[in-house]
Amino acid sequence: MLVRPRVADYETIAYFTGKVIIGLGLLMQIPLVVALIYREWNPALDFVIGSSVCFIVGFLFTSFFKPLKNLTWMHGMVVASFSWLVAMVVGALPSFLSGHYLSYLDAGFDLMSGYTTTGLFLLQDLDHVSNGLNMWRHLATYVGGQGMIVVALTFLVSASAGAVKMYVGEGKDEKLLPNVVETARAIWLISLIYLFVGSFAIWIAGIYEGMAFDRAFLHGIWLFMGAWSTGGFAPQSQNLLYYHSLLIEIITMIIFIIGSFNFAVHYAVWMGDRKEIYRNIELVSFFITVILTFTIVVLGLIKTGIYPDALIMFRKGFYNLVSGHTTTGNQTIYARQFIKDWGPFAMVGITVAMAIGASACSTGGGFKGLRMGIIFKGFIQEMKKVISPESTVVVQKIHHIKDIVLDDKLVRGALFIVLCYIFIYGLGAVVGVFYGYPIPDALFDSVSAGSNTGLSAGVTSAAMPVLLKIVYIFEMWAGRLEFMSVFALGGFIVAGVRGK
Amino acid sequence: MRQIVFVFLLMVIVFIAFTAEGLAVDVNQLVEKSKFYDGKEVVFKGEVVGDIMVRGDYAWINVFDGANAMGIWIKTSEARKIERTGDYKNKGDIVETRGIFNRACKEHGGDTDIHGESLIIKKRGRQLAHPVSFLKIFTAIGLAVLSEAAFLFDRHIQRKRLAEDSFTS
Repeated sequence: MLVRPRVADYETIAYFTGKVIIGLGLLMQIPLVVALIYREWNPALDFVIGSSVCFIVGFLFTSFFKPLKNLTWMHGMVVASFSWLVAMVVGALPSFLSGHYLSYLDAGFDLMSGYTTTGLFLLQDLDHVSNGLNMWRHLATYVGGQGMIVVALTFLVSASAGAVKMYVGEGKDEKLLPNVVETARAIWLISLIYLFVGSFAIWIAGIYEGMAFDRAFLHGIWLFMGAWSTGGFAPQSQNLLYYHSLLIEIITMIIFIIGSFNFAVHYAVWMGDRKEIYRNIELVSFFITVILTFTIVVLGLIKTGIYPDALIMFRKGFYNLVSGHTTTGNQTIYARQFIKDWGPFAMVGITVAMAIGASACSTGGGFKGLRMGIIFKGFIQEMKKVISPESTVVVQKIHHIKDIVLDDKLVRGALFIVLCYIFIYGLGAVVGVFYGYPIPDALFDSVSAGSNTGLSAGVTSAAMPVLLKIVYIFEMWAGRLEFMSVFALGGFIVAGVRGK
Repeated sequence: MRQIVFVFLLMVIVFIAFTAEGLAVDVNQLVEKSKFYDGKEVVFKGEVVGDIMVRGDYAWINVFDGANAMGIWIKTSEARKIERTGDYKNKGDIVETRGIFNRACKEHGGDTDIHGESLIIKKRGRQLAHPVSFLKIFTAIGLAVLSEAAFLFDRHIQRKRLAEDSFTS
């Protein structure tokens, strides 16, 4: 029997959603400062309006709604999924006011794409966007990579038993430290240290490649944020092709590969456990699937003969493949070149790589290496059971920070989530085909949205149908949150309507 | 007979004019028909955006055709003709370049680019005005005041709740 939520449940959810929205308003102070430094008065006012609306909504929520002392799993999950939707709506306000969007939906699409570290965008005339708005786009993807709830837990929510439920609801289940608030702070510490090192490296590379001192500085920060969060946003319309630089390509590739690793692995390595790099099942899975999918890409590129020599084929093929596999979406070719020059076989390789995606509890999306590893080991276990005598007990272990004995529950859980991903990939593809896009194009962009990658074969544009935009927003949101909190929100709404 | 000769001469003139000037193209055409244009001389026109990245005797400029941008590899001396590049505050110089289109440039790691031979400034860029409307200013001030009020109200409520909680416990 469905139990109708109590008023206190609604109040609790609204209260913590309010906290997240206040956090969003605080974040908007950063692009506001950038806009003021560069004397961009219109964008500065856009951020004053945007952050003020965040504060008004957030403080009204926290004032009028009193939370329960003990959060249930349902509260945590619903707060996680609901706050991402509200954050999309209010966060899109300064973007929309910039005049670079054809509709509020387009601005919302870009914000959701940013938060979920997808990188698809509908913004018009990116090459003439203000520094303030560019900072907001990249900040949204940087913060989204760590997680909205992680931000709220770090700065605005005190440690409580309920905190961990919101944290898990955001698709993260690794606890680097015993306390979840300390875990959130550790995630931020890791990300901020990389921010300084990575931005500095790109800044120097930019100056070396002929960019102006201050522009290279800003581009360094933005490219880092886009790569580290595996978001793939860039400040120019040509994405990485703008720089014509092998050096910047190498630096960004290193950043997005590291960014796609599980925060628990980062923490373990930082604590001195370097063996984790080659023992961890996710990293092993990642390297195997990179080799397999890159082989497919190479075969496809050899078939089309687009690149004149092996070195060039490696540079273009490997960068874009790894960008897809880590669900980043930085591109060194034009979107339509996937269709026109790479051909269907190479596209299969990159589509599969995007679908598999990065590591769990990272900034990336997709099935995740951990699940691929669990499913593969589960398959091996079943094979061993079949060929072993009946009395034999087959024990299969995986290594992820520590040795874990594989059981049916673990394999079932991984399979279920993978099936959910396949469903949303299929959903977007079917809607795309319905609107007349060719199957490879529709599947490519749908997988890209659902796995939070951001590579595009040209389907994603401001001209695409409204329903397809909404489906992609849903894919990005559900894919990033890894479904459980989305189901919880759906269940909560149904219980509110039909419960007793 | 005279008509045939006339048509033939006309075709020759059109052909010479066409090949001498190169094919006038945009990025979309180049990408969609990259195989056809690969290695051919093209004429590409648009606004210079972003940075002029000087790399020794040559420089990279990125030219925006109104929908997409393309990298042009051109002599630094030619690039120095550009006075303004496009960004939020500026409309960049409109330039026309004639050069060879490369679908996957061997010299530049497979980039899709144009090796420009010449650069003509068609129109000088200008500063872009972004006038601020009074409505926006008043809205921003009004909302900022309201958000401050919401903050003070929330602080009052939270203190009250804290006092109630400590009283009941």
